[in-house]
Order: sequence, then C-alpha cells, then structure tokens
Amino acid sequence: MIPKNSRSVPLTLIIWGLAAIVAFLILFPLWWIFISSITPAGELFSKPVKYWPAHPTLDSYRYLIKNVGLLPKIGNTAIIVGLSILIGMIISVMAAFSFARFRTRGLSIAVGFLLASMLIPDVVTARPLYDFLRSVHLYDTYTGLIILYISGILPFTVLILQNYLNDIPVSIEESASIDGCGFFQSMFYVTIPLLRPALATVCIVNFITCLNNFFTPLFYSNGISVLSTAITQLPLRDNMYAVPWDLVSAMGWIIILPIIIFVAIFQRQIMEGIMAGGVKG
Amino acid sequence: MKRFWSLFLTGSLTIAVALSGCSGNGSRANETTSGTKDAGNAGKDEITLYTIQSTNPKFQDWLKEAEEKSGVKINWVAAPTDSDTRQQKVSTILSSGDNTVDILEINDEMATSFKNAGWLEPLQDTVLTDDVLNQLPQGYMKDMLTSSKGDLIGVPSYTGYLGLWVDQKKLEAAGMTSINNEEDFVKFLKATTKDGQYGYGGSWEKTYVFNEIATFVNLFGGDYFDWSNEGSRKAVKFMYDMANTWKVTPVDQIADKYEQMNQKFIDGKYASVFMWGTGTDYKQANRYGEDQIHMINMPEFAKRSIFTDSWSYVLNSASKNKDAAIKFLKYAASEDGELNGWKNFDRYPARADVAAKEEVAGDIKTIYNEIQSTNEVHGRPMLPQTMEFISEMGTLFQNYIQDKITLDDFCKKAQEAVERYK
Repeated sequence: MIPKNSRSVPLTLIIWGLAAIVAFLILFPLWWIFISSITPAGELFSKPVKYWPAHPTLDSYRYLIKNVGLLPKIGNTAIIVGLSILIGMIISVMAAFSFARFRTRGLSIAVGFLLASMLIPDVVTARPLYDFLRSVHLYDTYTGLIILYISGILPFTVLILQNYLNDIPVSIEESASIDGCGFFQSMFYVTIPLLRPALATVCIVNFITCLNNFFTPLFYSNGISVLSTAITQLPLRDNMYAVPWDLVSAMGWIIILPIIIFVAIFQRQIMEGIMAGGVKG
Repeated sequence: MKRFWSLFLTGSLTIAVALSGCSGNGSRANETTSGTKDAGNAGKDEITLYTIQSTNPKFQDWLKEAEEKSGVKINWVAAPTDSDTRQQKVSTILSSGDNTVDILEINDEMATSFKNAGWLEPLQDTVLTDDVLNQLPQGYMKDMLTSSKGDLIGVPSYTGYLGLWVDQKKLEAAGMTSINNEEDFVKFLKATTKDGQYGYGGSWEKTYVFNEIATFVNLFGGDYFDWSNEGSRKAVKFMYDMANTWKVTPVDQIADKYEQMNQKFIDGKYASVFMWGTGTDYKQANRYGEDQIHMINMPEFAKRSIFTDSWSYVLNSASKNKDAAIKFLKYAASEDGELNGWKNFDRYPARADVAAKEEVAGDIKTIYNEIQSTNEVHGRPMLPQTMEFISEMGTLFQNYIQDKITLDDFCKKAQEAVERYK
C-alpha cells in the first residue's frame, strides 16, 4: 500500500478526476429528474435542451398532494415499512440466534428452506398467494401487506445476522452464564449489543428494500397505496399514450429523496456494517 | 428474569401485530384517494368502480353528479394508469372471480383480451338497447366490444380519433388549402420536406407504429389480418416510400414514441402527424389553432377511414351488486352520463346524438362532426395477446423499413404473426 503522503500529484489528480466522473454519472440523473419535476409540461421536451427551466414551478408537487393523495401514501408507507422492519427485525434476531446457537437437524432444514425461499421469483407465487390472502381476508389490509413485506426481508436478514452471530464466540455467553446471567439476559445484555453493526446494516438495507418494494403493494392491495406504486396512479393526459413526465419526475424525486437522505445520514454505519460482516477471522 | 424476558418478547410481538391491525377488513386504508369497500358486502344500490380517473382534478365533481343522477353510491378504487401494470391487475381481478370491484374501466387492449374470456357480463339486454346502440360508433362496437358469441360487453365512455393533424402555416406555404386524397397527401408531404424538415412525422417505435400501419391499411382499403390483401401491401409500401423513396419522413423515428414525435411537430420539424386526442400537448405549447396545428379530416385514399379509441365501462361477472351496477351503466350510457364525462374530463361523447348537443361546444366539435359523418369509424385491429402481437408487427415493420427484409418477407411474416396470435 502506498503511504498517503507519498502519492504523486498526477496520481492524486487521476483519483480525483475519476471520483468526479463517477459522482457526475451518479448525480446527473438525479439532477435531471429534479429539473424535470419543476419544469412545466409544455417545456419538457423543448429544444435546445435546457439544464434549468425558464419557468420553474412546483405545480407538479402541488398536483401530487392535492389530486394523487401524496400525504396518505406517505402515511401508509411509514406504517407499513416501519412495522415491517420492526417486527421483521425482532423475528429475525430470534431466528438467527436459534439457527446460530442450537444446531439440530430440524433447524438446519429450516435454514435451508428459508434461504431457498430467496430463490423463488415473486411472480411464481403471486397468484396462489393472491387467492390465499383473499380467502383469509388479508387482501388489501395493512396486516396482509406487513406479513408479505416481512416475509420478503426475513431470509436476507436472518442470513446476515446468523453469519454475524457465528463469528461471536459462544464462550462470551458462557462467561455471562457463569456470572449469573439467564438465557434472555445474556441474549439481550451480551449478544445483541455485539450485533449492533449488523443490525444497523440490515435495518438500512431493509428500509431501502421495503421502500422500493413495488410488486407486493401493487399486487396485493387496491385501496392501500404506498409511495412506490403511486407512480402507476398518475393521471392520463389526453390519450392513453401520453405520459405525464412532469408528474412522473416529481413522484420519482419524492420516492428517491428519503433513500438519499437515509443513506447520506447512515452511510458510515452502512460501510462499517458491510466491512464488519465481510471480514472473517 | 427469564419469565420477564419471555413476557417482554411476547408483549412486543403482540403490540406490533395489534398496531398493524388484527382484523382483515378493519385495517383497510382510509385515504383520500380511495373509497375502497368490499363490493361483496356493499348495500343494494352501492357499487365499487375501478377507475383510472381518480387522480383527475375534476373526479370528485364527476363522482358527485354520477351518484346523484344514477342513484347509486359509488365507491372507487384507483386503477394503475400504467398500461402493463393495469392489464396485470385487471386480469388477476377478473380471472380470480374477485368480487371486490363491480365496474371496471378498460381500454381497447383490455377489451380485446377479456371480451371472450367470460369474465364480463353481456350488456345488450339491459344497458346497450337498440336506441343507445344506434348512436354509438358501429365499427368500434363491433371490432372492440362484441364477443365472439355476439355479446356486447362494454359501454364506451368517449370517442377519441386517431386523426390527421397538420401545421396550417406549412400547408399554406405549400400553396394548398386542403388535403383531400392520396395525391394531395403525397404532394403536401413532398412540398413541405426541405431544410431538414419533413412533411410527415411518425412514432415508429415498435409498439407505437401499430397505430400508423393500421391507419394506412384502412386508408388503402386493406385488412390488417390479411397480408395477401393488395391494400395491406400498398399501405406498408407507402410507408416505406415515405421514408426511403420520397424521403418525406425520417427513418430514425423508429426510436420515437408520441412524446418525441409531438415535440418535433411542435418545434416545426414535421408538417403533419397522426395523433390521438384533442390537442392538449399543442395547446400547452401555444401551437394549437386553425392558424397553427389542428386536426383535419382524413384524406380519401381507397376510402376515408379512421380509428377511434375509448375507455369502456364493463361489468364484472363475479359482481354481487349487478342490479346497482346496471343502474350505473345505464347512467353512463345515457345523455347525462356522457355529458358528465365531457364536462369534467373533456371526453368527447361517444354517442352521436349527445355529441350533437349544444352543451358539447368548442373548435374540436366541427372536425369531429365532419369525421363522424364522412369516415368509416373503426376500432383498432387487435388480437387477444395484444401487446405481443403489436410488438412483433412493429419489429417486422422496422426490419422492412431498414431494408433488412423485403416487402414479401414482411407480408409473409406478418401473416404468420396473425395466425399465431389469433
């Protein structure tokens, strides 16, 4: 590894140049979505291309709030995503702990099934699940959606937490036990605090996964609309082929924004979590 | 201590589940954009409508009047406006016997896919009686909304023509006052092609070009499902000549959809296009009007023919509120229903007698009336696997236009596609 202070100026410039190119490639589409969202519909495709609209407007956002029910959608998203992550994490921690600490044939098979479920595409199970949810009156309900969201994040979360738990020596819990800790005490006071980096990482990843989930809320509900599916409810213009790009951009920006903010705030935890999970030894 | 943690874990889970809502129906969304209700449990004169109009600013006005005049309480569910997603949703609802919606708004693609599936209730004996039916575009009703058994399955809510739009200034610059026939049309295209501008602009992206191919097939008196028909061959040859022989339209528009085509038309790059609707895009760009961009009657080639599209109200066969649903459908097909659509959604009435009324006013009325009285009005030629068929035909057309296959190859492969998807 080259020490920091021994880097030559050209090398530093190349590194910064590459970083600037990558940053531009990532940021330009976001900038373009934002610009499109504040450009009046009639100016969207004007030539020459404008990188800042002549008449910027927030009409698209106003329309989304007034006519597309943006605020209830944000509320629904918060309820469903929040509860899914909360309940999902509780179940995942307990499951991962069991899988990591109690080695039985049955649990090994259970892990296998859980992980195998990640390989099944959503569309394969969609129709039977649709019929099932209707038959148990969970179709188009918060409960039904939360269960489906949790089932979506569970395998990945359990996998990560179990791997992390495998790296925490059992002897630590045994020492706690010798010091008088009961089973749950050692779990909550000793093991779970050690799991924090992994918990932070899966929480963040699950948040993004849930927020981006399009198929589940679209297919398994009619009345409960969330942000990710709102884009399918934008009004048609004049004919069925005319796409309201100004509204699409505004909606896209609203969907992207929480993810950007979340990642910007927690990027250190994400990196730490990934690094911690990635280094064995 | 162990007991405490057991209780804590159990309690946390219970609270979380309780927060998420324990009963199925009790935890439904109660948001402003949806009036969802289980149609199976609805009252006698209560229906659930699956609609694409719920995000329209005037939807509530439309709804209020529809409820008052139909005497039916209308709950509603917002349908996806994105076509692929909507088709999947509606297919699932209808095929599963889901009775949570009674009436659905469907477009031409969905009507074609569903009309023979047995998922929709026939309406000829209850709603589309002769007095109503006679006022609707006959070609469209036959092509789009009649099942193979002869059942009428939908009430069209408006008429929207795929008309010929011209730039009046370019028409005048070409020294012409009108485009009446094939000769005029070609003359106009050639006269207005200069300085990087073209006489004709298309959206020849593979899933969009279908509309234009079918329009020319109709004008030449062909049959979209018969590629041995001389009129059908002439139509695609005409489009080939426009792009390659006369060069009055650019080949690179094979990547264009309506957005790109409309922008180029607005920017003055094209002198004419085929386009749906009443010119909203042109109005927004301040390019609409008799002295600028406006719709004219279709020129007469072998015949004068035009496509109309619509969204139709259909009745779910699994509905448990059929009496109330039929009340609503009768209203939708009535003068009041069609005028409500015109007033609040700018939808031009599908019924000729309603369109002729004074309440329906505006410059579009003149040309729509002329088209209605001089053209054969048809629904587009679609097959049950609509999108696959449209896409394959579009790909074949693009290959032909780019000289990758000959006209004979195109017609042969097009006929094979027709047989495959029929």
